[in-house]
Amino acid sequence: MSRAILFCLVGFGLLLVQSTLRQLLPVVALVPDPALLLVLYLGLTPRQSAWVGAILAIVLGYLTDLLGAAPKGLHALVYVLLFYAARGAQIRLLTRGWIFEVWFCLLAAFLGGFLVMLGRALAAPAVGVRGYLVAVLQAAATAATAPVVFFIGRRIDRWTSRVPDGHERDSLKVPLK
Amino acid sequence: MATNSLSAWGGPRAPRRRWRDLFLCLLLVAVPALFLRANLRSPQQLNFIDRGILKVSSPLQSGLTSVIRGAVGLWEGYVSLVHVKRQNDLLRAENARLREDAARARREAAAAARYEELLKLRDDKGAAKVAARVIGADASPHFRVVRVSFAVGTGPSIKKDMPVLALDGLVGRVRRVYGDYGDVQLAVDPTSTFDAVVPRTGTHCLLDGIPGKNRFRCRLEAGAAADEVKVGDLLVTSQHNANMPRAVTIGRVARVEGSRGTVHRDAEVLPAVDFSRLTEVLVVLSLPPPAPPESQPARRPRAPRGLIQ
Repeated sequence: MSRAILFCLVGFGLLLVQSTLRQLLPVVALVPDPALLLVLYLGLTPRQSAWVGAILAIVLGYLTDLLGAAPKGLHALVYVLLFYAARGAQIRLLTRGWIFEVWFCLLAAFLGGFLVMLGRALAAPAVGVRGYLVAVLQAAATAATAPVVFFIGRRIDRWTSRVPDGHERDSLKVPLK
Repeated sequence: MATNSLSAWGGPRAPRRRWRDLFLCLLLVAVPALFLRANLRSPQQLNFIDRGILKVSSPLQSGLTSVIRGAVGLWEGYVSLVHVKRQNDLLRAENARLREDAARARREAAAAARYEELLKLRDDKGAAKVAARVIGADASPHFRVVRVSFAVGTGPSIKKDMPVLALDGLVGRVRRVYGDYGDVQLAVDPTSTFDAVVPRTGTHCLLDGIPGKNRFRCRLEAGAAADEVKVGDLLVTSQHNANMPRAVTIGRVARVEGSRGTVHRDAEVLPAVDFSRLTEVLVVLSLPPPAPPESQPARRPRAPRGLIQ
């Protein structure tokens, strides 16, 4: 539980940094999407149960919607879909190494941008070709920062990994006959 | 015991559990989808949770923005100064160029003013004058001569011993002429001699150059008027010089030697013209005809010509 809360807090902090950078940087499209990267990390890591990861994805998506002034539920829906996609990739593919992470994040970020644009089209006029260009640029920026966010995720996992005490270690032992 | 432990660490999944996972998956996708559908109708509406999160996040965001802006300012102002140095170099070079331009403009303005005064002096009624440009200074301290270039075609009209003037006063006499060039013997040359007068007292004196010094020696006439000469008195050319216009400024008394009442009193005169900075001079070709006696003011010294009074 503390792991999930820590991920939420880290995601919230990264979202604040992201929204601040969007104000300061001249090219908005070059600001990565750290919350999406956290969601993908949760999907790709085998330590996470599916339903807890999906709830975390919904919460992070909801925070993204709130801070990004997007229709509430849009990023939550996209993130939970991408979480399940990552979970499927984790089960079916060999998901080791930073090269796979970067490529997978690039693909997922572009897919996520495309889905967000589709969802946005429900509430506002379509953005056109420029919107796809922005999605590609943001996907590239997101993929480029994937190793950093995945490193943060692994650190959180290491901090929150519970070391079994002596009694638990005894209960795990299989009696040898 | 062993079976329980294995099932706790992910043993074979039961079909019921698969259905449960599928159900949870569909539910967790449907919740945000329904949430989105509900919020698309009124996207601006915020509930108390939204407002609470935004209230918490806004000051954090503001502080973060300040921190990042401060860090960027620190970086740009104190660390990343490479472009500032380059800009500094460019500005320094531009500043030097502008200073040079300004100095040149000042020089040109001064030259224009000088030419204007020379034109006035040349067009002064009475004497015909020709302009000349100084092209070389004296090479030896024993022969105080400058080389000049006369206006094109005026060389033949210039003769030896013609007086040469500058804006500030007397320069000397023409020593020799070759084509449109010539040498001017400066008034401070030891071999040149002029008759001068102190307009304030009417005292006459004979001026000649002091060897090795940029000054004149002035031998004052004996008499009461000579006793009145003091440091700072102006000296001008007198009417006793051959081919020399009257009342041209020569210089000022810098020192008076000898006590009052003696037969000879000498004075040192500082020339009005700075010979080291001569650039343009005027050669007096001919003197004006003498004025009728009645038109001349009686006992009234004429105002000296030249800029220094």
